[in-house]
Amino acid sequence: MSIDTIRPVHGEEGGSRRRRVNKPDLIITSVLLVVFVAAYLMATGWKELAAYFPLGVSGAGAIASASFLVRVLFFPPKPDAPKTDVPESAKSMAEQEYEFFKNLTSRDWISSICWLGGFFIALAIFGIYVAMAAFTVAYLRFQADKSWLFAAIYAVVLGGVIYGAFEIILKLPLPGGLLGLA
Amino acid sequence: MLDAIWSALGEAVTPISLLMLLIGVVIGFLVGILPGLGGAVTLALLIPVTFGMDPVPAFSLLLGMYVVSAIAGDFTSILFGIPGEPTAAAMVLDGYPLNKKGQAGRALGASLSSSAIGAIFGAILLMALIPVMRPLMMGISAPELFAAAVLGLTFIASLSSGSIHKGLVMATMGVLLSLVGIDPNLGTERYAFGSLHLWEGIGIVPVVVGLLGGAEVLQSMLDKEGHTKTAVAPHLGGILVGVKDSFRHWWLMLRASAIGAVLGILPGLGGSVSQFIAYGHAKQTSKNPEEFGNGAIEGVIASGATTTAKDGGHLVPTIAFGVPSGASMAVLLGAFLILGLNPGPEMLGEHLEVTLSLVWIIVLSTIAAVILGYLLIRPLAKLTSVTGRSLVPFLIAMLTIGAFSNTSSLDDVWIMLVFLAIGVLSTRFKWPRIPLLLGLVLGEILERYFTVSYTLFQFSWIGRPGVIVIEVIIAGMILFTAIRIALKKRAAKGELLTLGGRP
Repeated sequence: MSIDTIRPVHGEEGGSRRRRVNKPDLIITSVLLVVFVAAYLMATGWKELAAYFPLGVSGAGAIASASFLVRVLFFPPKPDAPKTDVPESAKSMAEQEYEFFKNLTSRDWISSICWLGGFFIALAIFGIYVAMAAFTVAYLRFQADKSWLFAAIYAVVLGGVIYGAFEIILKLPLPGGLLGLA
Repeated sequence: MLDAIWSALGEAVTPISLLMLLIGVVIGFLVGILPGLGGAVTLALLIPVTFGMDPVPAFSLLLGMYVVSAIAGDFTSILFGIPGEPTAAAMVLDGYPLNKKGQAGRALGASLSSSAIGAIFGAILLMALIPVMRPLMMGISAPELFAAAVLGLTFIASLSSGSIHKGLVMATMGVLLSLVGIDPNLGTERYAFGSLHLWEGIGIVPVVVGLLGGAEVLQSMLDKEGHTKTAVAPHLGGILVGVKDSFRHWWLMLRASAIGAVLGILPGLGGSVSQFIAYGHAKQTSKNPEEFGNGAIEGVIASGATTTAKDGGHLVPTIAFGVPSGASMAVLLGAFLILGLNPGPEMLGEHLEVTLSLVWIIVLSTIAAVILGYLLIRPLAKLTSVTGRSLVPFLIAMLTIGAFSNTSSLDDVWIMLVFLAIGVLSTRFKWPRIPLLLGLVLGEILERYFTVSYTLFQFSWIGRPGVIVIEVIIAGMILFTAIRIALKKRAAKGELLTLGGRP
């Protein structure tokens, strides 16, 4: 069963256009509903002048998400007729992005989370220069299959551009990490 | 008045003024293209340089930089899908898809030319409003500003990419997120969970960068085709096509400029809000709304024109009353005082020439930006021919520095990461991202002006003439959208019946 559907609700069994509950919509709406309700409950503890707007917004959000939840559960839209042979260029940008992420494997997700996670952990500890240099060399060498020389030159140029543009010309502070290396 | 206009032009084109203007334009380009350092911060950094200068050369430097940073911010949106400035967020929606289709030149041409027209429109509006500034500003109060913010929210429908209900939920979440921090009325901590960083609220910069740029970085990281494809230079022959497109849609360009300039006058409603409102308006009134988000040139034109038109509008309350309409104008107000000028009646009488020279500075810096922009389009656009994975380190550096620069705190980087995840999940599961951003931007304005309106007038403000005008516009917009959706559904039903399917 696809991650995008959970079960048929009603409609013609075996028919090609059965209504199915959209599982991601169900989960996302439920989470948002919980957030809105929690925000509403928190706002009830504040003084009137600080609370009236959060109460109104979280209340409106809870109603909007609850009504959408009802729609997701009991009135799911009929799935569109399968679009076959649609050339990539004819698809909308949102559709292309959706399909791009939909077609990713678990390995793709884990790989990108590890690369990004590694960079941001290094950033928090060593600061932008070390993190950027290490990430650039490792990523270009092992993920993009570039040569060591290309990766090293790229890292030096990128570090130089960041230093020149942000530190020297614009005088902008950059993240130094726990070790203050910036 | 005519004499004053020509005399102001003479002041604006003296060698020292032109030199300062060129320096400002170059700095503005750098600031606009690089993420993180916004126009307001750079204005603050440049103010010490203007000590001892005459007012016109000083404003040539400051205003030249400020106007051009907004124009150049659109470049990064088009070329990399990451807004160089928060005010360039709406440009990503159609500018970047056009780039992906190989039409970077066309998008940049349309962006530059519409920005130029927008800036000139805003400058002319500023000049035209000088005689009526006082009565105009006296007619605008908190209720009108609240109503204008509600008008901004009505564009959720056209920014929800298919699902208005989802858009409504996301926009409400955006408004709720805008309430994070210390409450402006009583100082109560709201939804900050003890975090000192969140006391100041969630900054718009990390949100924009994460929400819009994050999905792009992940796509580049995981782009298996881009990994092996050879670098192909983007098609840049379309620069003039983009310019022609702008003038073909001259009416849209003028309407978007008017939206930017008028909203620019209203405190807090300039910047990204006006760009999204103009974008939503362009989509709503387009014959091909389905093309929006997929590379509609009208989306680029509307966003580009608004980006610069707002600057003229911003200056109206700053000059007339010393009331800044945003952070950048607050800094510029400081420059007025440092240079010995008192915003208010003096600027419309004794210092009228300086006021009019500001108009010329906007026009001249825009022309300089257009020339510089056309010279830089080719080298900049070549960057887009770099294969996806090779760009990843550069894009991650832009995301990180952009988010960090908000308050020079790593906490903003973590906020950016949270919104990066939200942006990717929204794309993966077809939830619209833009209403969340619009809600976040408008939330604080809505609360602030509603509180003031209620405190001053209870609910009697609903009947104020200015508010009624905006209410009629809101009702018209809702009706227009409802009719449009009904007609679209009817057409879709008819199409299905013609094909032999069941409605």
